[in-house]
Amino acid sequence: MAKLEIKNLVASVEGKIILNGVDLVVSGGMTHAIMGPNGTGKSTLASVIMGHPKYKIESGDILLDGESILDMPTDERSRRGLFLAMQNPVEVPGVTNFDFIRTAVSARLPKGEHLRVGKFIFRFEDAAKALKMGSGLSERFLNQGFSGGEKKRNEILQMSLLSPKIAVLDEIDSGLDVDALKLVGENVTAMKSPELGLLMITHYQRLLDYIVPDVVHIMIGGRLVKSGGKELIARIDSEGYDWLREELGIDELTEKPERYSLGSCANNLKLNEQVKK
Amino acid sequence: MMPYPNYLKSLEEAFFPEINNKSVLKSAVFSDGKLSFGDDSDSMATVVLTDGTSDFAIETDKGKKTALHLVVWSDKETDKNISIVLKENSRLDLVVSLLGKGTIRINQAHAFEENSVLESRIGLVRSGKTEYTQKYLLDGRNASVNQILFAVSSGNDRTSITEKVYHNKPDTKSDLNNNLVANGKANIYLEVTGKIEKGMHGSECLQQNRGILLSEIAEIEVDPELLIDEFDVNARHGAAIGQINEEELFYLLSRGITNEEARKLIISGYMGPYLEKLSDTPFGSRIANRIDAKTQGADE
Repeated sequence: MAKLEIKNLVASVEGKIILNGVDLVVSGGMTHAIMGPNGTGKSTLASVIMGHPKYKIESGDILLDGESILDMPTDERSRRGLFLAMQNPVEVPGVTNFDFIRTAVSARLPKGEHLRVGKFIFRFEDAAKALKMGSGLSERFLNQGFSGGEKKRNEILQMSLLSPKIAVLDEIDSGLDVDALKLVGENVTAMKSPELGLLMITHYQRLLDYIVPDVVHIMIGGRLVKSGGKELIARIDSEGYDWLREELGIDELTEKPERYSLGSCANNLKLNEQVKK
Repeated sequence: MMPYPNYLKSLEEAFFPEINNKSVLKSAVFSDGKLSFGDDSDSMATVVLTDGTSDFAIETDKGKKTALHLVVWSDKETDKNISIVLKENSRLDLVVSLLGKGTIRINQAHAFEENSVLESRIGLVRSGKTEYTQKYLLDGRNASVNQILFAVSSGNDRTSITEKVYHNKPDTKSDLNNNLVANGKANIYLEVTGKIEKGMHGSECLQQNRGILLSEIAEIEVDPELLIDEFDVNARHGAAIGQINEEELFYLLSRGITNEEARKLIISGYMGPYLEKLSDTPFGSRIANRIDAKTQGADE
C-alpha cells in the first residue's frame, strides 16, 4: 500500500519560510483534505511534494513508501507514483494534449516496452468521455484556449490515465461550476481504491461534498494546526477560522504584500509564519 | 503538372543533397516560372525551386481552393522573387519550406482580392545566411491571412525575417504568428509591421512572436510594430523571448516526462503547426530530422 510521509517539513522561497514544520501521513485508501485561509502554504506544500525547484527544503523529509524523495527530480517522483493536479495548469502551445499524455504514459513503461497507441487512443477517449471533455480534445494544444473548467477536467483526465499512487489535488474546485464540480467529484471518487491515497487542498466545503475525506486538516501559518473529521468542514464553512485562532492562540501579524509569489493561491498575501505554541 | 503524390514520389529523392539529382527539377517543374492549377482539390501540390529556377509567380483561380507546398532549396547564393495573387473568393493553403545552405534572399509578396483567404505555414530550416521578406497586401474586402512561421537556426546561421502587412480595405484580417528557435551562435532577427490605413474599419491585425534560446550565446531579436490610423479595429502584438519556460517544464516533468523529453516536447510545440502540414508527405520526416539536428546544435 502506498504511503506518503511528510516529517517536520520546513520550506522556504527566497529566504522566507513558508512551510514551518508540516507533519502528515497519507496512505493508500485514505482521503485527506487540507483547508485553510489564503497564503498559509497549502499550494506551497503541494508544489514542494512534487519537487518544484522554486522552493528550498530547509529541514525535514518527505518519504514515499519509506524512501526519501527529497533528492529525486520531479519526473522521477511522478514515475514513482506521485501526481499533482495543479491549481493553474500551464498552457503549452503547439503540443497536443494527446502527444503530451502519450509521452507521459510511455515514460512509465519498462525499458524496451512501447505503448500500443491504437489501444491507448480508446483509453484516452473513454476517459475524456467520462469527463465530458468533448471531441477534438486530443488534437487541441495542451490547455491552450481551455476554459478554467476544461483545464481542471484535463488534470483529472491525466490523473485517470497515469494511475498514481498518491494524488495531490490543489484547489481542483476553483473555476468549476456546480455541474462540472459534480462531474469531477464523481470521477475522482470512482478512482478511489486501497491503492490510491488522496490529498485535497481546498477552501470550500462544496468539493468535499462530492469527494468525501476521511481526515480534515487545517493549515495556518505553514503548519497543520488541527486535524479531525468531517465536522471540521461544516464549522469552518459557517464560522471561518477565527474560532480556531482563538482556540489555539494563534496570533497572525499582518504584513504588507510581498512582491514574490508564495504559492499559486497566495500571490498577494503573506501571513506571518510565526505560530504561537 | 502531375498530381501529388505521383509527382512527388518521382522527385522526392532530389529534394535532398544526399542524392544529387537536382537538374531534373530545374527543367521539370517550370519552364516559364509560372504554374497554374487545375481541379479544386484538397490534395497538396508540391513545387520545388532550386538554385537555377527562375522567379516564381502564381495566381489562384477565382472561387477555387488550392493547396501548395513550395520548397525553396538552394546551396548557392540565390536571390528569388515569389509573387502570389489570391483572386476573389479563393483560398490558398500554402506551406513554404526553405531548405539548403549558403546565402539566400527571398522576397515573397502576396496580393489579396475580395474574400480571399491565405492559410500559410512556413518553415525556415536552412543553414547559412537567410534573408526572407514577406509582404501581404490585403487589397480586397474581407481578405485574410493566417500565418504560422517556424524558424530554427544553429551554428553560425544568420536569419533575418521581415514581414509587412498592409490593410488597404475594410474588414481585412491578418494573424501573424512567428515561432523562433536559436541554438549555438545563431542569430535571428524578426521585424514585423502591421499597418491599417484610415477608413479600413472592422480590420484586425494580430501579431504573436515567441522565441526560445537554446544556448547562452544564441540571439533572437524581435521588432514588432503596429501602425494604426483607424479607430474601429482590433490590433495587438507581443513578443516573448527567452530560455525554456520553467513552469512549462515543471508541468511536463510533474507527469513523469524526463527532462530531455520534456524539452524536446516544448520545442516541438514551436514547429508543430508547420510540421503537421507535412505529416502526410514522404519527406516530412526528413525535414523533422533536420530540425532535430539543428535544435541539438548541428552546424549544417
